[in-house]
Amino acid sequence: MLKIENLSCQRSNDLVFNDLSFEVSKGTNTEIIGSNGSGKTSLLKCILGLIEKKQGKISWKQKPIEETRTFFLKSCFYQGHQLALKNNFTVFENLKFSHSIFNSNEKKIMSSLKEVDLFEYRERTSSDLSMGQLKRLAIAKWLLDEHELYLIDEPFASLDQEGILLVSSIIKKLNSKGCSFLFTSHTSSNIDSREILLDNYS
Amino acid sequence: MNEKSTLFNWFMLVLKRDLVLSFKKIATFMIPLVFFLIVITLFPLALGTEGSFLSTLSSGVIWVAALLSSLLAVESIFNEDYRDGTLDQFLISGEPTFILVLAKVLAHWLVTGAPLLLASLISTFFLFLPEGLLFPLLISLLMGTFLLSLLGALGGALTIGKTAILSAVIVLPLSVPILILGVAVMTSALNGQDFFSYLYFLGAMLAIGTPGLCLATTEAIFINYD
Repeated sequence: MLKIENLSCQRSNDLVFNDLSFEVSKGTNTEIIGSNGSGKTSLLKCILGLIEKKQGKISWKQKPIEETRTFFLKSCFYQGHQLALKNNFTVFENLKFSHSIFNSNEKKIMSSLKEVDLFEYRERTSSDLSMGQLKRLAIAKWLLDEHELYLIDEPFASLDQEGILLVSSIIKKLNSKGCSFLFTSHTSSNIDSREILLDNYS
Repeated sequence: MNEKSTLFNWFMLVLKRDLVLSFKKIATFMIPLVFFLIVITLFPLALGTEGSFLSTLSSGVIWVAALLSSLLAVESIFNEDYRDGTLDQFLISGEPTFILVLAKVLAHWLVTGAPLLLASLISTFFLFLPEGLLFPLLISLLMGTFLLSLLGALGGALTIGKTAILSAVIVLPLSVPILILGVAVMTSALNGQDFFSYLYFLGAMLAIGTPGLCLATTEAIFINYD
């Protein structure tokens, strides 16, 4: 589905990673493991076109990404370090105004909130939530629309054990519907996934 | 859903979102408004209350105050969305960035520019502006403040992730032609001359500037994005 071939990325004259190749198949998980500054976030942003690649080829469904950019982006869901949540919005409004809800309705928002145990907090302002609850709110966005590929930067960060189990179960549920995950972490997670170690520029 | 209605939905989603957000953060639209009124009231206090003297200065005072007020909220156009990751989501939405920019500019104008039109009505009392000048004042401010919002968006895009003062430094010199034309409209009207030629110039700038500056802002976002 997503194929990365000999991908290199450079930022401010520093090589972030070099000659990286891997493939993400339908309904599978791929985990990018690396220490701080190893280029995990840059890799995700490079795939999405948010930062330019130095060289290499990215293909989506056997076509170069440059030819299918819009189609690819509409098939993807990205969650970075910043959770794209507004402190002044309520929990409900944050989902309502999320960019990906063209096809979402109130019912879908409510069921997503129930799934991440935030339904009772729906009228609360996001600034009143803890970091873990904000993370859950961001996870609720995954459920608003089904996407073919989820690119998630450190999905388990700031979560307690219960939260980690919740994320794992949501990933499994989406996997069963044919959704694929490409996510980053510092250490290996318990999710059934193909692990790629990103270190020393490669 | 056809492409046209999808683009319209995208435009409305961004516009509605920015407006709701601005009204939740009252400071976003209150600070430029209060700043404008304070600047206007300072002039009679500093220069005296002689009506004819103040009315000759009024056009320049109103326009300079409007220009400085509109700069106050320039940072909020893109920087907040950049900091919390929302801009990432917008850029990878697969929707045209041009529409995003246009919606954000309109939201910025509705929040900062449109209230200045109402505030300028109040300012006419402080500055002894003749009643007959209300039409040229409002129509020139309507076009001028929208142009200032367009320039503000460009300044905001050029300084994504940087300090707010930098965007003000970029926008101020670029807004000089708007200031000159805006004041020219008012001065001509005050002297009983034909002011429509200056209004046409402002209108032409608006017609060219809306697509042109939105395109420039779109490019600036991608160039500055890191």
